[in-house]
Amino acid sequence: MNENQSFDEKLMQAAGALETEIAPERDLWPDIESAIARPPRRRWNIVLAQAAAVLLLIGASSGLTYLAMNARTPSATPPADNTALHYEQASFGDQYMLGPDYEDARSRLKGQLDEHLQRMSPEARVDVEKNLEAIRAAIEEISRALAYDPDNALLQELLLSTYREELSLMMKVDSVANVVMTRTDI
Amino acid sequence: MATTATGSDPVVAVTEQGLADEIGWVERARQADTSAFESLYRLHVDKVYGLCLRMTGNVSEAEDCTQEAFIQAWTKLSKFRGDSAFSTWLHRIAVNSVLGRMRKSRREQDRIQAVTDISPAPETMVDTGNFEDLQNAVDELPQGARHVFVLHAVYGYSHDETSDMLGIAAGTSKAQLHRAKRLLAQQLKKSGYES
Amino acid sequence: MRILTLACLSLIGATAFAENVDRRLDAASDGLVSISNIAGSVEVTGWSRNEVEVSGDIGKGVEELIFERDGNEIEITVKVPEGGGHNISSDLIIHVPEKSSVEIVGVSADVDVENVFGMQRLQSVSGDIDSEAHAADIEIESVSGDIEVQGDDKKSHTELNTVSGDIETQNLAGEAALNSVSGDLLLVNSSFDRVRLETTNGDVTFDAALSKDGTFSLETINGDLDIKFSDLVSARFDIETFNGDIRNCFGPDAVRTSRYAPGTELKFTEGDGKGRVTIKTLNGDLRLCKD
Repeated sequence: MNENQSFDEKLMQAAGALETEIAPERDLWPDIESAIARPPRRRWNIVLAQAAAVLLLIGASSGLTYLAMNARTPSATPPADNTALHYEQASFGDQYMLGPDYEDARSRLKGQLDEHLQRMSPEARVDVEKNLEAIRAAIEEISRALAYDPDNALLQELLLSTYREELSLMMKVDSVANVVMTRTDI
Repeated sequence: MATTATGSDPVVAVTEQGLADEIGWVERARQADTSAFESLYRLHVDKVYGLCLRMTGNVSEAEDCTQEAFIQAWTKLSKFRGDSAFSTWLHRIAVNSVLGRMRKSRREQDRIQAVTDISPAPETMVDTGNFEDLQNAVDELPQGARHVFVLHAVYGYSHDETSDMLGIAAGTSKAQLHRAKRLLAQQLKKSGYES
Repeated sequence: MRILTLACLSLIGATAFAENVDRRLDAASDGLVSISNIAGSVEVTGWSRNEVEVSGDIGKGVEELIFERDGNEIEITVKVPEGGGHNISSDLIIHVPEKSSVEIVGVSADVDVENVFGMQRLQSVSGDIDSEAHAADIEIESVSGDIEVQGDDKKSHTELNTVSGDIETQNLAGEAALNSVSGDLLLVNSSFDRVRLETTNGDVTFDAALSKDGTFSLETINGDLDIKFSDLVSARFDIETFNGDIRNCFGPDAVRTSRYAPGTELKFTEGDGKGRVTIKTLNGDLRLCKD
């Protein structure tokens, strides 16, 4: 819609023209000066992420309980192929674990992903790739936040869900590709 | 002082002499020279305060945020390597300060009441064409959208820089900008502005 | 287009022209009908006859229209040359016994199902899927196709899943699980015992009722949430967001979870508190209201 477009441009122009420098109503320097003259306070220490294995407890998704049930001993060993993981590894505390079966499934699906994507139409392929990218960006964002706050249960839960979503998307691509391959009606 | 147009470098346009001065002040401030740090303060405070004020929408929070930003900058000076402009580095610290200090409900109320406080004095008002109420409309944006809009559309940071400063994904930054534009359009059209 | 009346069960040889088709088979009153068509459309309507009827246009280049019965199962398949199928479009209009279960697989074909009371399993890649829920299980999956489900306010079990397609439902009851990466979810005029909603970037709009000991679970990374409980809602609310805003019309104010880090939560009980409402977001903003 042309009307909206020129409105949009005008809006952005006006935004860029807004004053970026505003003098405070009072001089803030004296308080700053007295704060920096004081001996340094103990600050909250940011604990950086350890380069340890990513371990998450499998949630209730039906597709994954199979994997969780087959994980005989939840282990702390790093995933087989570290380079396949595009996110920063962080430690979450030991109540969350990814079983070795999850990592197997994930790397297997990742390995076949490109081949499967080839079998989809270009539009569908682009769609899937964009959404996989969105999921990975979410994983990175949550992992970064976890690095500052490793005990945050909300972040752990959301990260777990996002990994599930990624696995689920790759499984969908897998099944669509197989359908396309084996059926001559499609 | 120079105003920033969207798309250009948000660094304060200092003269070459000014830049040399700034480098000198940073060096001396690193050696705990508080009067050199004060010079840096004087040079950058309006822009930092402007950023804090637009992001928080509240005068007293903006003052706190500004002070905290400079105090943190002082303690972290050893970490400033000069690979970005000092003002950009300072703005990042200010944004972190805003994010860290956010309180929801009570501050939201303060924010709405304080809207009238933040219109700059008429002599510093820039002609924004039909959009005199843009200032107010931006303040009424929900937080996430407001932060992105202020950093990207007002201060000219790219989506990558904006998302990095706010600790969000670039996709989120774009989504928030889209949201901000849509809400602003609604708000401004309601006040009777035609395109 | 030539109109053909066929004596045998299937077309032999690739068609040179698009063909019109109109055939029937007797069928079980509550059997399974499996349909597959790559491109074009599939329209399925339940009727009171114990027969399956296929009519419509078969695209040029289709190798064979398979239409066969094996006991309680009927197969309808548009068969195309291997590797060459994506552009061959066929429009099928199919009537099935209304108590049938229906399975449909398509790639870009749009799918429309009405008046079917058995289970439904519908899959597409980019085709849009419209269906009606009638007190039976429905499972619909697509990549980019949009999904729309119209219920009849009777309890059913509905699972809808897309990558980027939008999902819209109304007049559902019972249980629902909706999931999309970037598509938006919309649920209105419904009454749930259990509902589970999940998106990565998609927005969620919910304007429906939750039964007295119902559970409502919603997770999103970046989607914005507009949640309204119609009727009385009686539940424990457990809402957490990392960077998003919480604006609620009822209950106490949201509070920061920590002085030093981002995070806001809203936990309270409304009414008897037998239900559970759990909402978790990273960046999404939440608006929570009730009637």
